[in-house]
Amino acid sequence: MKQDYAIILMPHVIKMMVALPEGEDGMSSRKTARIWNYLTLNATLYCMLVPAIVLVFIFNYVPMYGLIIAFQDYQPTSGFWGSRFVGLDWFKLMVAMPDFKQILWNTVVIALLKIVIGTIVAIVFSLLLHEIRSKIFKRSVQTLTYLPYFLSWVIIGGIFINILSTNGGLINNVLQQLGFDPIFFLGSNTWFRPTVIFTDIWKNFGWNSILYLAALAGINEELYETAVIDGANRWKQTVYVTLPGISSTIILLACLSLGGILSAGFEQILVLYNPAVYQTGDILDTFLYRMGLVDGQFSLGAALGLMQAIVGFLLILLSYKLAERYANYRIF
Amino acid sequence: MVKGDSTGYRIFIFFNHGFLGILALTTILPLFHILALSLSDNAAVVANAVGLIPKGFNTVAYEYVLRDNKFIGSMLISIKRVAIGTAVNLFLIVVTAYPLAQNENKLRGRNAIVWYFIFPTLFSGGLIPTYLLIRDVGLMDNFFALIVPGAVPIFSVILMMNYIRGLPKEIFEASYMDGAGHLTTLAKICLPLSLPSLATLGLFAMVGHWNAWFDATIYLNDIAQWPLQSLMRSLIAQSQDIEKIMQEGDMMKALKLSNKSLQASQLMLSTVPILLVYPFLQKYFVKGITLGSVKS
Repeated sequence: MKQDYAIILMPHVIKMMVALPEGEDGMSSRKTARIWNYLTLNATLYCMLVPAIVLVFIFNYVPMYGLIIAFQDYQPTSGFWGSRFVGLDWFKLMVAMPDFKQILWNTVVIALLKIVIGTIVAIVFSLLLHEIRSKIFKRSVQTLTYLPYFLSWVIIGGIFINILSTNGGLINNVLQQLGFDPIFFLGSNTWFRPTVIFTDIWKNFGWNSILYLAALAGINEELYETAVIDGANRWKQTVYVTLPGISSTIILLACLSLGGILSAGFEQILVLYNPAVYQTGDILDTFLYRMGLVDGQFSLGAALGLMQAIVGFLLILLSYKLAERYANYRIF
Repeated sequence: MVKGDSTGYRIFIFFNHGFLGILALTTILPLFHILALSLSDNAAVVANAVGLIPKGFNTVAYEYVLRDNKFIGSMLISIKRVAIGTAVNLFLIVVTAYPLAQNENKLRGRNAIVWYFIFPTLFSGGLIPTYLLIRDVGLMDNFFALIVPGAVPIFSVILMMNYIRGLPKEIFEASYMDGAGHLTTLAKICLPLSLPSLATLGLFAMVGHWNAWFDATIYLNDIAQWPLQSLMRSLIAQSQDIEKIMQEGDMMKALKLSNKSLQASQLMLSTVPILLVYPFLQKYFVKGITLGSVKS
């Protein structure tokens, strides 16, 4: 704290001591004095950045270096520096693992279905909500549908484990009363994936619709009036005015979600899954967690993580380029 | 809005209201069911006779849970985490976003520093290296393992940075003209103007910290140190273990409780803080979501 005051006072002290001639922009004509002046004036700013720079370096950049253990036979006792170098052995092992292809497939399928179906649901929902005229009704619906987004998967998972249970869960009770057999939603390989996808969309569709609703509100009223004059009914208006109006938003969000294809929902699946559904439900992240952390195979876990990070990075770059090209959206 | 007068459209409007109404209810009904379970008599719960309304209304489950030291203890840890974590987050957000809001010509190296912060959002070391780092740094079994690694919320910093850049430049310039240094300008000019953004980012930090559970499970070995969501997670995982249910079942029966209604009340109590903050979240988050995306 004291140093900050010193830094603030320094320029004034120096000015008094040195009595430099000042130019119109407040800086002296001598170059070194200018740089000194600049540095001291801005020293505060640079100092303000120091905590964040240090923290990000330690907790974000150092682990990137830590990925080096993917190329080592990491032993906890030897640390990053002492472990033996093994090159691409772990990667070869990874690809040769019998479950690897299945896990990769699970990840991509679940992620893609979540993205595609989720986007459609969010768009349809926002289109329908846009047609509501009563502000109170609209706000009520929004209030209710946004809530699950803010609850953690522990809570939502706990709720669904309860109501989807075959031992007295609400849903299966209803099914049985209607004459159907109980369904092992979270215990069978046929039902696990649909359940995961459905519950994820249920949790997030309200939140995901926010941007679409904003885009819908931004469509020019005159376009609708012109369409009415041309004899278009509400449906035709939707097809020829509304959808084109939000098409850039749709494309943008679709492109941006591309980067998330290898992240199929770690916390959700960790909460909901069990060994019986590993075959269809085990994804890269859960597999990495079990193998890398629980079983202590640090190097193999790091190799998986590295592969995931590189592919993810390339996908994100690709998605930004696509967004730039097709939606005219510059991120940077 | 332009209205078509056709009967077809009128029918659509009618069903639209109905459909959306039902949809909105489905997002809240599961919560109501859990609430009903938590307030129902054990016999009804075990007989699966409870729908959306409590049967045999009693608060025994809540009384039991609130007297459970483990549960209360974890709740206190969560509150501690939310308080300290959010304060640290907000401090770092402000202190980092303000300098970065300057332009490159005013602050040399600013662009490079912004890239320095953005890169980790594109590429990360992943679970294993981070875990090993936390271990090597000595934060294992330490409460601050929940705070320090996530202390700089980079997306929030960027949102805040863009927000400050969107403030009218004249105000800042006037302040510098008057001889105010950066710290004074930040405190007297920038912060008061940034309150909406701070409120939004603060609320997000709070919700994030309250809901975070995974990091505690891997960095803290003693369950007594776990925040509430992590404890909930282990309780739910346990309840899926049949033997546990058998063992606890005898004890519970004596207290007229079933594992199900106990868990239901635990779930409800874990949700209460979010529900309390929810009206404020509603007020701020829609603005917050569009805050960063309007800037290009």
